[in-house]
Amino acid sequence: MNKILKYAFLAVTAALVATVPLYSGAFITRFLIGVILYAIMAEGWNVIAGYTGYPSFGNVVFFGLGAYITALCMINFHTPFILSLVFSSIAGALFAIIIGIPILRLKGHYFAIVTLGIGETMMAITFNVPFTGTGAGLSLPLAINPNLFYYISLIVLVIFIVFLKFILSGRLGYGMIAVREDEDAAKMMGIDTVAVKIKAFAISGFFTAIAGGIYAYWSTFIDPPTVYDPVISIKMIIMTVFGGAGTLLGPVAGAFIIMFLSDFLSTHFTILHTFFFGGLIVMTAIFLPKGLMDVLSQKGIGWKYFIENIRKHRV
Amino acid sequence: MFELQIIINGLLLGGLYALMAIGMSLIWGVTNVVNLAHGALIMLGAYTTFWLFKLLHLDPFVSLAASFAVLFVFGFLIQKYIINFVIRAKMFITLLLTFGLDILITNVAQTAWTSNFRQTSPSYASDGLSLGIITVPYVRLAAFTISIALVFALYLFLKKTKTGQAIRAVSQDIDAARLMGINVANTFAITFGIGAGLAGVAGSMIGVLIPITPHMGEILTLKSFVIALIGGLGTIFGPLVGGLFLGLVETFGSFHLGAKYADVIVFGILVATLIIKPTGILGKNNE
Repeated sequence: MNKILKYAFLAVTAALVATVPLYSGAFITRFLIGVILYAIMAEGWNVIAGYTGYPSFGNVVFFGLGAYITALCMINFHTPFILSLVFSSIAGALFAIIIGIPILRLKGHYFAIVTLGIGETMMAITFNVPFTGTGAGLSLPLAINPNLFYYISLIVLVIFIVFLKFILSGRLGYGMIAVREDEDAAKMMGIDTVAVKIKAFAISGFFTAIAGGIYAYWSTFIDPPTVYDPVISIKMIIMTVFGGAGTLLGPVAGAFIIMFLSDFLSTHFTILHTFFFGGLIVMTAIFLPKGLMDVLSQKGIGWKYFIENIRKHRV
Repeated sequence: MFELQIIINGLLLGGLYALMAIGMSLIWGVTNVVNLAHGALIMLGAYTTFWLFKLLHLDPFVSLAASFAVLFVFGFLIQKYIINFVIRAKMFITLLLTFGLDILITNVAQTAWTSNFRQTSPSYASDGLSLGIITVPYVRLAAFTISIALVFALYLFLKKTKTGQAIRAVSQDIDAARLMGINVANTFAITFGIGAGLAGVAGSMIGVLIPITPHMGEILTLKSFVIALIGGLGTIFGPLVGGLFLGLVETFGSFHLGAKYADVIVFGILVATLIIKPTGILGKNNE
């Protein structure tokens, strides 16, 4: 009985999610497209940081790269949108492999800072090479049907989650978690840790670049400060950590809740919005380092749960 | 002739860079926290001096002391009431925490002071000492001298004073230090306060040289890290070497490749250092 209820609930939710643009206004559809794009990116960050234990602070490079590849393909070669997204995703994965080979050897602080620098560097390069339109940015053709973006991004998100679930029950998934828990031990057990890390980074880059490509066509205009904005990296990180890093649906929940709160505050309490992201990150790091999914999985929960991190780690 | 002028400019900038980074290096070496809010602290120092200059017409080099005091207290409180709570958690948590602080400080600064470009511009800002074919701007010379003096002052402080010895003891072994009767939490807070104060002084002087915006800190955090890394952790004079090196390379690079590529050069040095010698020029060879 319980199982039937569960499936019925899932089916109703799926039907609701799939038909949203048909009855909601343009405003809500627009908001949800933003949520889904961030959910894809947060899930992408989750693969490399949540499951593999390599917290990248510069995943926005894949977003920016994807946006630029789609824009350049559509403007210069008039390739169809979907084909441009395919090029973007391949470019994202390739770029992840190329930069991953040197930087995934680094650990801890070093990895974090280098990834932080990659975003800044790509922004500077995009500003200066001639074929990207430099600082003036690129304008894309207008899309005919705005609901298209809702369905495409939703399909990408669903594919990503199903793909990730499949990966996690296989060799690569166990390898990623082993690397996160203890990389040296994983190596001892015969896991090719280098290959595991690079594959995880490539998956992360692949899907984040698709999100970038969708964003480019959706917003019809991109320039370096918008698509390489470090705030995008910050959002991916806080959405994943707040929702629950290393859980399948945590990043999606995090993306929805944080986008909702951020939108709500920025329209109704502009001053509070100033403190929102920074404050939320600080609070999460102190009181909720394991994320919302962990809270939901606890049976009895009290204030002791939230100060456990402090109790264990203060001086 | 141009080359000589570039070397002078690079070295003068490098001294200031050294001061900027030594706070980050100190905090990193003692508390094992890479402070991603370091650039934001530098930005706060720049604004402190700017407002004192603008509202009270205080000379920027006089207000350095105020900048140090304000940032010391601010840093002390941050460490004592925020970072100390989770300082022994996983590295990612402390990185995330300081990242959050960085965004918080930057956003508050942007709301309070807008993102307009500002600059502390005393009347003597463009004067310089002419030595035949080269010119040494007074402001840069003063910034360089003060920076180097402060680096040496920090060295003496850590070597000779009781607090300095406590800081060094805590950085070597927390448990042993505690057994010797050292209050670890307060020592961490003082360390962070000193690091923040030095960042503030560096920011005050940077604000005389380049425009001040709430977002100026982002690239400065990265530069401070690169300098701390090149110089090697756990050494006092490491950041000095790293700062002078980065100042020279950046000035040369901007001259020959164009100023737009300055940030790319910094990043190139970072990756190259990490791959060739991750423990830095003066660093010890063990982890």
